[in-house]
Amino acid sequence: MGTVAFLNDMAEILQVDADQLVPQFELNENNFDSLALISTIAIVDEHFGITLNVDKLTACQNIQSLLDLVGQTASK
Amino acid sequence: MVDGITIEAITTYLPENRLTNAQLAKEFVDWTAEKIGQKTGIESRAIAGKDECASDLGVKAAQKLFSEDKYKPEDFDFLLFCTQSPDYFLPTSACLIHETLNLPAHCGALDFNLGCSGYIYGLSLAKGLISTGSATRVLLITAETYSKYIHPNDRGLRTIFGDGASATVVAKSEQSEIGSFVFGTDGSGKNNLIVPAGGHRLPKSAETKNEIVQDGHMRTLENIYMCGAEVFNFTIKTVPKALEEVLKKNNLTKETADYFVFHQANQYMLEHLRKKCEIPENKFCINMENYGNTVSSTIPMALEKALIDKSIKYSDTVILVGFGVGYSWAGTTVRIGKELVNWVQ
Repeated sequence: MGTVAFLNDMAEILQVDADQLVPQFELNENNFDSLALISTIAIVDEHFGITLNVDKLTACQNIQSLLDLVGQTASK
Repeated sequence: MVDGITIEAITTYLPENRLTNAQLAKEFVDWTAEKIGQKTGIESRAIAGKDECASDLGVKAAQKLFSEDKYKPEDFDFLLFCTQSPDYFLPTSACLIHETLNLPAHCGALDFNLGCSGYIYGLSLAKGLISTGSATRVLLITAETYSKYIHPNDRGLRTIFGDGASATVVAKSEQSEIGSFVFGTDGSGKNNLIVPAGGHRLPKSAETKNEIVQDGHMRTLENIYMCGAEVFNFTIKTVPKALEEVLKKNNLTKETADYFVFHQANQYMLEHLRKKCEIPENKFCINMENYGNTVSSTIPMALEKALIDKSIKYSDTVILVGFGVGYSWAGTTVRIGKELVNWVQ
């Protein structure tokens, strides 16, 4: 799946360089506001064709938990 | 039986007060005007004055119809008014507008409470009234002053929503120009876009005035709450399907339809929907820059602008889809008639 392309888009949303998006990258401390939530839902839909649960997305602490959520949602 | 029903004219009105990105950036210091513009596609939005209500905006939009020689108040025998920010609980705002516009006594008037799907519902009501012989020419007005519901420190909603109004004339015509409709409702989304207090379910009280911070936005229970992410999930699930249904019901395809006007919710959402629905950029309307999201007026405002800048022209088939608060959605097609082209010119 297009994980690299997805992370490139995530970097744009969070306004950081893509190489900064390590698994431990904290979301809530880095521009993960309500507009970023919407943008994340959009790019997940675009890259993986799935819709994320908003409560679960909001609970994601870092990039790894976001990738885990995408993986879990895609496998359902 | 009537041969056809068409949109003869569209007018719009924006309040004079404007809220620019620069003004917002001054209030919310960790934002820049540039960032707001980039993220939302909005540069400024109109905000109703303290004493300016939805009916006032609606009247101003409708008065533009009478300022030309083409229409007189007695030409109308039904008034439909779509708003979620009425002047009063009662009486019906349409009755106030009816009086101010000097519409004839035999002219029916009613309010209906819908948001972003409201314009399409209004067209369907107007078409129904005319096709059953209950009316011959309907004045459909949409107007919102959502700004009055928004907490001054809710920077997200203050950025997105703008106030405004539209007036549309729906009448008999030689050809059928308003197509078949698709509707949808999902009340399970009620809590994702809501003004919780102030009605009878939760009357205003000292408690409903307490300020709370939710999802980073300040509000009280008397203000609008919107969970943008949930509303976005609803739109990406619903709108592509609704579009397919509208096309099928009207024997059209994305290729044979000339132009697409969706409710102008926010630019990011629209751009995503455009790609998801595989609509070419040159056939898709984005008209938010100087308006923001004006709720039930975004579609007529976008239609008017697209006619003025000639993105749409005579005999084009335009797909309209409205979606939002409720949840509620609706879609239809409009073939642009001579009357509407002549009016806008």
